[in-house]
Amino acid sequence: MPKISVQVFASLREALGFNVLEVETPATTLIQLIDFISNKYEPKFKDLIINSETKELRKYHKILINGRDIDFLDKLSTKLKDGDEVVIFPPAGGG
Amino acid sequence: MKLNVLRVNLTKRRTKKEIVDEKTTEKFVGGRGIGVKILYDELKPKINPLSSENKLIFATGPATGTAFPASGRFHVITKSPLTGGIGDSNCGGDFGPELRFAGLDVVIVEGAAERPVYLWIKDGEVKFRGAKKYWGKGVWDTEDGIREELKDPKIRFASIGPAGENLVLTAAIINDKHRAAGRTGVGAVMGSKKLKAIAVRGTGEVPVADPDGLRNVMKDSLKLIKENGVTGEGLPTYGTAVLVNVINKHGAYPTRNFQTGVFPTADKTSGETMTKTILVDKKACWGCPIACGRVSRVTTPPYQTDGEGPEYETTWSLGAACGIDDLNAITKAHNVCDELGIDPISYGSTVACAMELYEMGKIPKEKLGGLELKFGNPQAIVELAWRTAYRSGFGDDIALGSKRLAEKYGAPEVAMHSKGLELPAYDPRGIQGHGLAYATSNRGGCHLRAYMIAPEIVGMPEKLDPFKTEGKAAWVKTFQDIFSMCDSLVVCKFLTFALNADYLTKLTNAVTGWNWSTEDFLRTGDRIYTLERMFINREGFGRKDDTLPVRLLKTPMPEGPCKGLVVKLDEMLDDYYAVRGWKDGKPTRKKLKELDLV
Repeated sequence: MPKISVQVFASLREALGFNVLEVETPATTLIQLIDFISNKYEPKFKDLIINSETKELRKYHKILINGRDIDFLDKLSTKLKDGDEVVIFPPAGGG
Repeated sequence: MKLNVLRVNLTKRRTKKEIVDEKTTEKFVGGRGIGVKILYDELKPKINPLSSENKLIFATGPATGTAFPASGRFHVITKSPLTGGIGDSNCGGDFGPELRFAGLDVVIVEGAAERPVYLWIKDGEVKFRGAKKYWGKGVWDTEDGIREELKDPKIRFASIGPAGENLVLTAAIINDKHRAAGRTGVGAVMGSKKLKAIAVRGTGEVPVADPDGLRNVMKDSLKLIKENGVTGEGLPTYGTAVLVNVINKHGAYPTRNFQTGVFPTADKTSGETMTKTILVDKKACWGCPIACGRVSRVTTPPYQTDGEGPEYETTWSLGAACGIDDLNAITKAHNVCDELGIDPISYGSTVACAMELYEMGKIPKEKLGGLELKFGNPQAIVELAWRTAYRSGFGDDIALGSKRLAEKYGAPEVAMHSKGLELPAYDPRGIQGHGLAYATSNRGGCHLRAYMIAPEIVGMPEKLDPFKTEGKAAWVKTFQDIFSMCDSLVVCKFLTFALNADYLTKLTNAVTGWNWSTEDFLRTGDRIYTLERMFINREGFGRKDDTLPVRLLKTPMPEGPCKGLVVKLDEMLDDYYAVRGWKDGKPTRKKLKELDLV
């Protein structure tokens, strides 16, 4: 089964109780991975990052797959493969 | 709206009060705008910035010290000794509002004192006072000493440390011990005038044209600031260093002098780690609802220290830029920079340059006084700060800044600068628009003329693909114009994460009584940016200087998400000149007429 590294940052670390989750998963797309993690590890996971009404990524949240913003890939339908790194940020800006 | 100006001649020990008339104030606003106007009108071209001919301007704007959000700031404007072009820097803290409470909007410092002095401004009355006993001391001791001397704990300061006194080209001016007008060597200009500090105390009120109107706009504005994920949560909770992991995971975190964009241990120096380890409290500048400031403490030897920060830029410049991931050492070095009055961005970037030169074999070991100048050595970044401020040993070379350092050691291509000012904490090979922003910044390598990170990384106000070049020119211009206004009103640019140009225009109208449209607001920003460009054109800067280090233009990023990329500046620069109405880096006559600059 493919192994995916899921890393969360800022307030998501406090909310979820982890920094990194290495998962073996049958999920082949990002949204399937999000559902998988919510079902198996942390029920809050999906709700924290996906707007339950629009079914889209919450505003100004960011997901990178191997460093590339999913908005420039296939958004939540982006396909995953073994060894991918999925990184999730809540809104974060600085100077 | 007029501006109250204090003109101080240090050579003659005389002061004079002046007024900037309504028409000029409405054209150039205050802060950076009025500063560049004064410099353009009053400085002869090609003067030595460290001579008594230079002028050092401390400028507030119509928003400073009012209920306009995040208005606890001031701007310093001069001719830069580091770059030879416009030298300016923005600073948070209490000094700006206090100056306005004292009845002054702008202070112009001319000439040079024979012996060290400080200015004591109390409710508009000005005295020259001897600063001999503070000369050589750090900023913290100076502030404490003068407060005790004048028996007033509420005095606010803009002062220099030994770095400014010793004409370190990257010296800063410090406010409230920990806030810096850091960039472009403004502290060295203050040191060249033997002006140790400006101490100010004011008990007056700041006039606002339409207090009810301001209150009304404030309600919406404060709501937007609180509800915005960046200004309402990310920045107050984690500080600016929340950006460390964001930029690193994009593969654009400049590591080891921009040799790569991925720093494997970046999380050790992030806002998240800071919050769990060294953070004592958050802190706000005067009147700011965001509170991105950090109060921190390191208790572990040998880097015990108390202070404020470090910020995102400092965490990078004293960290990943030099291959260092020791947060305690970074924090210590940051506080040393504050105390001694050094710009940590330029300082850290210059040390990174020196580290690369050393590893190339360009710097003989005997020059280093026992220091191991290798990437990753945390002791180097702390020790060299002291040596730089006092120009001791190799510190004398670091005091030159990276451009002159790299030229001295025969490898100018190793200095990561634009127009002589060191680049900040974003590798533009992965963020194309930001590369254009760096290259076209009037003051040199700067992320604050146009913060393209907002759209290209954060996704505010809308998300742009950082790998693409199309359309970036117009965005860079818009940011430059809006930020010119922020620096002229003088308010914090973090407001722009939450408030668009429409809100900023309404707030401006409320404090000034002007009746501007948003187009007027943006046109004024365009005017200020263009006058700044005229200033640097007159000093010899042009298209040839709107560029980046050859590493960023020609050497593909070696690894990470941005692997293989360079900055495609040639795809963006002509577009930029076209949207600006410039030709080859110079405003056209038609553009100058349009902006009422001729």
